[in-house]
Amino acid sequence: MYIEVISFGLSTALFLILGLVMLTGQRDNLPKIMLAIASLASAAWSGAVTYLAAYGNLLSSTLLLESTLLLELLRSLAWFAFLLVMLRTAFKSSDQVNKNFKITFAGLSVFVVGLMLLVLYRVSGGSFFELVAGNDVLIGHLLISIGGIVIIEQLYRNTSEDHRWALKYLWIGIGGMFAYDFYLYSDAFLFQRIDNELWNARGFIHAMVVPLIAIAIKREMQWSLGEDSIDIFLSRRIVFHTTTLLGAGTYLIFIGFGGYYVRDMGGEWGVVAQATFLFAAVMILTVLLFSSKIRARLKVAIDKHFFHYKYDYREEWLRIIRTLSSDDGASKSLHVRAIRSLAQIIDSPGGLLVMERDNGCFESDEHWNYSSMNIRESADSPFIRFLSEQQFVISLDEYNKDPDMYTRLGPLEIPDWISSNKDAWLVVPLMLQDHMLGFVVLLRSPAHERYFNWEDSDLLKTAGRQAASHLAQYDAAQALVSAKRFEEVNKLSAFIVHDVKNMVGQLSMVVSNASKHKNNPMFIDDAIITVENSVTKMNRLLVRLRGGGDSDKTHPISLCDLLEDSIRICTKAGTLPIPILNCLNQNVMVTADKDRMSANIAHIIQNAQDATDDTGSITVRLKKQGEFAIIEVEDTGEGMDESFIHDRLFQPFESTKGTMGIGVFQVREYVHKLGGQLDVESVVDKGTTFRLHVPLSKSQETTNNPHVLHLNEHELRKR
Amino acid sequence: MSPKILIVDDDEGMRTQLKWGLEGYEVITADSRTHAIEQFELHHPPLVTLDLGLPPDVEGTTEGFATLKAILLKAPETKVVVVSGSEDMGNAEIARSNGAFEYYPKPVDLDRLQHVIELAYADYQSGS
Repeated sequence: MYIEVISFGLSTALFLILGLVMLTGQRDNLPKIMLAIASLASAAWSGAVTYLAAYGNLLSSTLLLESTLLLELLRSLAWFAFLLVMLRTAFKSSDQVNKNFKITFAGLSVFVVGLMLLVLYRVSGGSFFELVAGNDVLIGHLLISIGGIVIIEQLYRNTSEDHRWALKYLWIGIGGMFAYDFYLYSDAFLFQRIDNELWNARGFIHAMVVPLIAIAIKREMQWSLGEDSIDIFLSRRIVFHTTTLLGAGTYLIFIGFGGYYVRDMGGEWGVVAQATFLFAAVMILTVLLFSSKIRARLKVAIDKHFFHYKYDYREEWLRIIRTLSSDDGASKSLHVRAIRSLAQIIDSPGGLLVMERDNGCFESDEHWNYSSMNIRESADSPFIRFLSEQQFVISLDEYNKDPDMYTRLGPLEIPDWISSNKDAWLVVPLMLQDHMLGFVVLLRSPAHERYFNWEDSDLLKTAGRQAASHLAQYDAAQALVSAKRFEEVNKLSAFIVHDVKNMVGQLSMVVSNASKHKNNPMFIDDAIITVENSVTKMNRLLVRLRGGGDSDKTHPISLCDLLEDSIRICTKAGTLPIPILNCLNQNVMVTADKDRMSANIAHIIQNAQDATDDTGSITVRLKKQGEFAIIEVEDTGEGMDESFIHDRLFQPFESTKGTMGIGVFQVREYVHKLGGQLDVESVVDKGTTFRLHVPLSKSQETTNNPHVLHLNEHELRKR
Repeated sequence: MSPKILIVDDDEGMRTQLKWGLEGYEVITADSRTHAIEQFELHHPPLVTLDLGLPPDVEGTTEGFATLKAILLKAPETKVVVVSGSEDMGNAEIARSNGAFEYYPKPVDLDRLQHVIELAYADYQSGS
């Protein structure tokens, strides 16, 4: 009795302290409150047991005995409540989840209360141990302890890696408490009596739990910050793990068998049965261990189901995407980044990318820390066929050890250039849907022999798919660019053919007309105008042909002067209406090629003239707005509807019928190139405004600073 | 008195050289649809050469075909020769189905155009 008093007394004191500490400070935190309640319930129960142990013999009433039994059950219920509250925070709260938790808690409550009623029913005198040892009550206790361990397992599994550091002590502590109860009651169930020593130790065991809980609380300071901040659990899936149930079930079956044999067959048979069981278990274990196939399968199964994932997939995935999509300067091309994104997953120091070419062969593309070499694999070689059909990551170690593992899936021959490289480790296919774009050969990690398993393979395969889609997208973009260039050249040449044809036509008419009219001065005048017309067209052609080239000589130009020039060009042939120039700021400088800028603006003005009746008006405005010079060409012409602006105006070389020359598309391209933009506003039958925003020259400040202005004013006053 | 011909083209060089090149005709010119219709109403020429790409749609054919329709509506017996630089030969079909006498693709060879116009005038005279 003396040991029992000390044991449970210690437990009472520690739980009481823990419970009181938990009640201090903020109380708006549900898990904290539940922990306080559970601790105090434990303290009450322990205290009752202690009191019973110390003075039980002196008492005549069974009231205390009853309440002790009930308090134990209440304590269990309080811990369940705490664990369930913790478990609920582990999952993204949804109504369904909340509902499930409520149902679970209600079920447990009904069970515990039922057990309490059973205990009350049983209380009809007799000693404490006999009473507890009633079979049905024992089973209830057993089930409660198993339930506690199951919830602990769910909690542990659904806690993120970061928080396990802090919370593992909580799980070990509370789990230990329930595990000990399980041990105690299974033993009691087997031998139909509660073992005195085990019972006495129970107080100490429970007392040991308290410091563990305290460590957990200290490490998880967030507890005091309110429920919202309990972002302890980051589990994305609600997974029910059944390891505990399996383990507990197996243990109970063994205990049960053992117990029945011992009881029914007598001591002699008991030993025989025990030895047989043990030997059979060792035999099975040995068979399993020595069969590599079964062992490998078992390993995969155990890895998959019982151990944590080797990778933090969220992290890995973010890293893969980051490596693939960010040009960090360290690697030149996407192709190198594709190799790196795969290599870093398994700490490989380098790799070689082999891509499918237009001719159907697979040729070496880029390499990263891999001695470059020229490789060519035909698409119907067994190696390529195996990769693209099986979509398998080939581990060369595995292949060398046991080629059958691969060849039973299909014929496979590792090419010499891979097998001769001792550092080559893995071959990862890059699959785009069912088509293999290429593959990556990865080098072995020098630091340590890494164990390659299904998980590496799965991740590499998926990462390979991701890399493949990036590579395919890149290729498509490249193809699009070259197709666009082709189209541009095609359209440009069609345009040139058209214009040259027109000019040749006109000039040959001049020649044939000259044979009849060469003595007529009026014809000579007209012929000269025709020739001049052709020269203008040829000049525009030249501008167009040069267009896009970087041969521009850019220097600061005064836009006001330039606009005057452009207007002069547009009105030389007597074209109406004559644009009105309105330079709101005289001194507006931009950095551009003078001829191209002038041709572009002239083009916009000509457009306006074409669209406007001779009686209409065109206004060209120049002003400054922030960092930009704004050139506005406003006409009162017929305007354009929205669909025309949207669909046709900015189409490059929309049609080859072209006295228009360079096209609005090219004007916009040029303005973009200068860092500006081109806006169009148009109302049908009212008119159109083209607005060019061109960045001001950097030297603007020196030519237009207030100081100079001030001087000018000063000079003016002098005059 | 030589027959009148209306030359509709937005290219000044074209108009000028056709004026000098077509012999035996009194040449009237126009550079847009509205101008062409004005000139047509003023002179009632039996013959017209018509460029399809007129402002503002110099790159397309809408103005040219609109002019063709407007002229034939006023005087269906007029012989219109469409002279176009368009590479799209479908325009020839559209021109003929809209009542043009002939489709003549640029570049212009004066002798051949002269021949086409003579045929058109002969057709006009036999019809009237």
